[in-house]
Amino acid sequence: MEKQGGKSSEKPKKYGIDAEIGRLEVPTYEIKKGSQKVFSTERDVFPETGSRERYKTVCFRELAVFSCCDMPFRKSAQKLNRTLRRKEGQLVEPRTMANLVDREGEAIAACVETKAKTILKCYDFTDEGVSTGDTSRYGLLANESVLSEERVSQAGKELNDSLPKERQIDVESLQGTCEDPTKVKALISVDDVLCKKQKVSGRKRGSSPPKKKERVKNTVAHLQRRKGETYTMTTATIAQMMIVLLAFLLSNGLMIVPGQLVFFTDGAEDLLGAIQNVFAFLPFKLILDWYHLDKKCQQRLSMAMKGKEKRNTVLLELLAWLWIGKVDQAIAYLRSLHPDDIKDAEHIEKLIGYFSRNLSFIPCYALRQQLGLRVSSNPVEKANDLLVSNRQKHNGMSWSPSGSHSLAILTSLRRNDEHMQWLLHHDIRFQFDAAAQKPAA
Amino acid sequence: MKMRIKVTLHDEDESEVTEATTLEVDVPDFEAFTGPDTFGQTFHQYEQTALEARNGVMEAVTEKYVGGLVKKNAGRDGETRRKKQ
Repeated sequence: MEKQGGKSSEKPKKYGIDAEIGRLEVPTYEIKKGSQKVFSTERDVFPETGSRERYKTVCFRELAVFSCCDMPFRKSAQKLNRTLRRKEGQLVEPRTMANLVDREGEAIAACVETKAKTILKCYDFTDEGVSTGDTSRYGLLANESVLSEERVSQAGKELNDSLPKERQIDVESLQGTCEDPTKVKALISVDDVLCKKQKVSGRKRGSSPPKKKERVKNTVAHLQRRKGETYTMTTATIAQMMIVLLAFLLSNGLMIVPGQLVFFTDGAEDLLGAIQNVFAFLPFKLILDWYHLDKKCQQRLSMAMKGKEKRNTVLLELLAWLWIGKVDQAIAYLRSLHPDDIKDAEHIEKLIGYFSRNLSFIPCYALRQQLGLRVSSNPVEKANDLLVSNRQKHNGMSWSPSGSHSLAILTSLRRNDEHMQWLLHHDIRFQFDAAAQKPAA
Repeated sequence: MKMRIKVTLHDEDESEVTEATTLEVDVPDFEAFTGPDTFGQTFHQYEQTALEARNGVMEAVTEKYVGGLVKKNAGRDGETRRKKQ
């Protein structure tokens, strides 16, 4: 300090540090040359903090922020205070934990957004994911990276042997529809997960209650590279997810890998639209998740048919057609139902509409299963549980959008094993490699 | 820079109960703190080392403390047994 050649003085206010090692109060100094401040410990040594804020060390943040991903803020605060042996007056309050999570989550989301925009720019894409350059190299060998005809024929033959004659599949027509799992860019499952939204303020006297329960939406994606490495990501909206997804694929060199991109979804229209909007420049495959197709049929038929027995009979027959990918026969079967068995024909029409809309996304699930290919988006369903549901969907819990997104993004960061990189450098690697040692889901 | 932690156990009359436990670890030099941008990372190196050292020393001291306690009790119990016989 003497080097500065000014007058040094101790400031009355101490710099507060919240560390795992303890709560520290460090004296601060400043050097003035005349009226000009030439050095200040708060500015030149320590990171800047708010007027009553304490600087939180990496170890402290690791404990405080990530414990909130597993348990409620109140319990996390109790556990933290117990672990660090904090005395009265030094206790970390649950509200502080929640604020800390909010702030970290928002900072990570901003970092991901900036990173995605930078990557997109490097690869000649606009911020909205529209290409401004040549995209032909991304579709390289997309149609050639399918399973060999012999393998498909063999699997088809084995499958037909187990099926009744009228349900047997035409193997020749299915040639070229099954991707070679060793020659795909990535397998991507995308889904939305909802949790209860916090009320902004109390309802005014005399006003009618809200018609629909408000929900906070998180979009979750699970990516799997052919080597089996996985990565999970979460954003607040589907549109944001598509941008981040595109940037991730580009930065990991997956877009120039010969082969197809394979998406697995639940058939939600907004999701399908967003995928088609962003990835329209290259051939990709979209597969409707079998579990959701099954569930959709169950729900619609429950409302459409008279009685449980009739519903179950129709459901069984319908699913049998859908399992082998014969959507036309499934629609024909629904149309042939006797009017006396139907309670509400509108639901039958809606189901037919759903099949027609998703016709091109319904493959021959039986053949895919026979070939050992994935038929469902269950990895993202599991990721939904791990990132959102396990922590956020319990009795009496409701969330602000920022609180919910922040928790989800922090949990995904930890599952991708990127949390230390974030805590230390305020950056993420945005690579499969980070998660290779610890699969995300 | 080195940080040396030395812990002793002694009676009220200042006589040492066990030999002192000492641990020495490397911590970042003051010069490593080059500014607010690197404060977090450098302090993390310090904190991690300090926490590990603290735990290591306390573990070693506690082992000695419990070891001393066991020795003393074993001696006392032996005397009690002999007196009873």
